[in-house]
Amino acid sequence: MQHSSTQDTLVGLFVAAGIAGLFFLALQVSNLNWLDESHGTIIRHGNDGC
Amino acid sequence: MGDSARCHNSLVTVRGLSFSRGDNKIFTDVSMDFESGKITAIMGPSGTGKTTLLKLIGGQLQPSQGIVTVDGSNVHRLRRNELFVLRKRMGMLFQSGALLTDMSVYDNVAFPLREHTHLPESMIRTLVLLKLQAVGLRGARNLMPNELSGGMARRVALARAIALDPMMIMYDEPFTGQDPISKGVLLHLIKSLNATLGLTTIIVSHDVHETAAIADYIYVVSGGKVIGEGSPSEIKHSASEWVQQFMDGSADGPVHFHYPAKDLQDDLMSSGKRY
Amino acid sequence: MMDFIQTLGRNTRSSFTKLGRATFFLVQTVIGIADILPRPRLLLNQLYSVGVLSFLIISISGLFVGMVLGLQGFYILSDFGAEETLGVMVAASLVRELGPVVSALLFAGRAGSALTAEIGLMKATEQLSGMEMMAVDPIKRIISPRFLAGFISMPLLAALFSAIGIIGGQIVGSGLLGVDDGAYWSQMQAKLDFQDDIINGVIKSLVFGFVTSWIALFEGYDAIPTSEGVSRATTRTVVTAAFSILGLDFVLTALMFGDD
Ligand SMILES: Nc1ncnc2c1ncn2[C@@H]1O[C@H](COP(=O)(O)OP(=O)(O)OP(=O)(O)O)[C@@H](O)[C@H]1O
Ligand SMILES: [Mg+2]
Repeated sequence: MQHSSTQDTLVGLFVAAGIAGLFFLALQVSNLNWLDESHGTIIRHGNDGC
Repeated sequence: MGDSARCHNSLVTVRGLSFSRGDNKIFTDVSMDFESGKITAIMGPSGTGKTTLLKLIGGQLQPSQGIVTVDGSNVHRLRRNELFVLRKRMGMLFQSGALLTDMSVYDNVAFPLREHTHLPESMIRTLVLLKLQAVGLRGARNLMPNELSGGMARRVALARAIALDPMMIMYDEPFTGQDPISKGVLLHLIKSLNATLGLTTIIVSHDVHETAAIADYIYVVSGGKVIGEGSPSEIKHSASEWVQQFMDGSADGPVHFHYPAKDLQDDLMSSGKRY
Repeated sequence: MMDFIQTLGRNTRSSFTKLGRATFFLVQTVIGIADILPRPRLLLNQLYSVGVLSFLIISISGLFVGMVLGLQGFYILSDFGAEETLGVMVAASLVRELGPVVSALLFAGRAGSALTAEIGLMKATEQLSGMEMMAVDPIKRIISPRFLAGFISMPLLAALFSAIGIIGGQIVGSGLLGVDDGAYWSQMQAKLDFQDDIINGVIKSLVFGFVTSWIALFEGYDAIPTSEGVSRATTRTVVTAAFSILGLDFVLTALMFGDD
């Protein structure tokens, strides 16, 4: 098994990028409000658009 | 030459073994003994099932009938983890080498040590280099398997097979693809592994003379049966035509060189049909 | 006619025995995952070949899919004067459907076929039997790490695909076509729900990752150990995985978005 450190770095970056993608979806795309005082719960404000 | 004496001390015994692949009966009621600490050779024409026999002994194939015991335990009755414990003490050199292609030569030889021991890396290094030295490939440790010749790959596989210092080792045609020098070295190595470590050795080979020179006992297998057995000199002077033919390497005789087929004349004449 | 029925019967029987073998294989693979935990190195190596190497194709495809969605969405929505809702359209289609499905299809083509070919060749060159003779279980040592890597990589890749696609839609929509940037994001945030959309999308990609890795590894492990056998197995992986992904997507969509 070759212990290649570049490979490890790339795996690290990949996982970090994937998790960043998930966070982006949660925070920027959907309405999950991370900094709200009731954090951890899901807040809906679904009818301000129409 | 007491047959009964052989049985007492054998590490591997095969009793009444039958095995078939589909309709193709490969063994019918074969019995053999592989004496502990000795070199036993299996010879026979290509395609008689010598590789199959080694796989049966290693528990990779299930016989339709008969018993194979290794060091007192019935190989085909063991549970999977018990079989694995047994296999750690059985080395096997595959005909193809079967090296792991995504690892270097060094890592291939280190593989069983890393999987089965908790030795520190420095100790593993020492062991690996010693095993590679024994097969003359210490300098090739950084090559990948695809950079090796067939003969070199076989020798790396040998170094790997002895990495865990097993109690027995099965060689499947170790000499094919070796030049006369490495053949000589391998013969010497097999002999000395057997002599110094008392490694019980089963060797499948077509090289009649080389094998006869180091073997203590020889089985000649053909057509799913043992057609001759004995010490090398007994085999050489065997009265059996079959064994004689095999030892002399003549195409004509009771053992057929051809895979069963219909008459050549008929086959060539029936040109209209596809087969 | 008799022949046809006989063939049908034989094929049905062989499909069932294959399904049985595949299930047994899956159980062993999942059990084998317990043995990887003390050896993260095995998993890391596979995350590289399964995840990192699929990263590029997934991100580029995500970008283009998002841009196309931006373009098409704009043409349709602007007819109704509703181009501010472009963000909703792009994000909803990506997060709910295209992200998980397209990235899984690409994953099956990129990583799945490679896994099948790799395992099939290892079988054909006796590396798997060699390992067994060295008392190393090839399922635990070879299959389980690859399976886990596929299962972990898929949701990450799908999230990246969707995220990059949404940005691609924004580049086209507000960058080129003049949709209001604030509206693009705020409409999206207002309409997309974390639980209903994001979580369901992640669940889909977990299911697809599971199924695709299972199919790819099993086809390799079950391949006839010849060059032709391996090549057929590789084709079967891509075809079977694609059908399973699309079929399961329908079922999951019906379950998730059906009633509310
Ligand atoms: N996977 C398989 N499926 C069906 N038949 C097989 C398979 N492997 C081997 N055989 C058949 O089993 C018989 C014995 O094969 P085996 O490989 O044991 O021969 P062998 O004695 O080792 O020959 P060689 O000296 O050429 O290596 C052959 O006739 C072969 O056709
Ligand atoms: Mg053979």
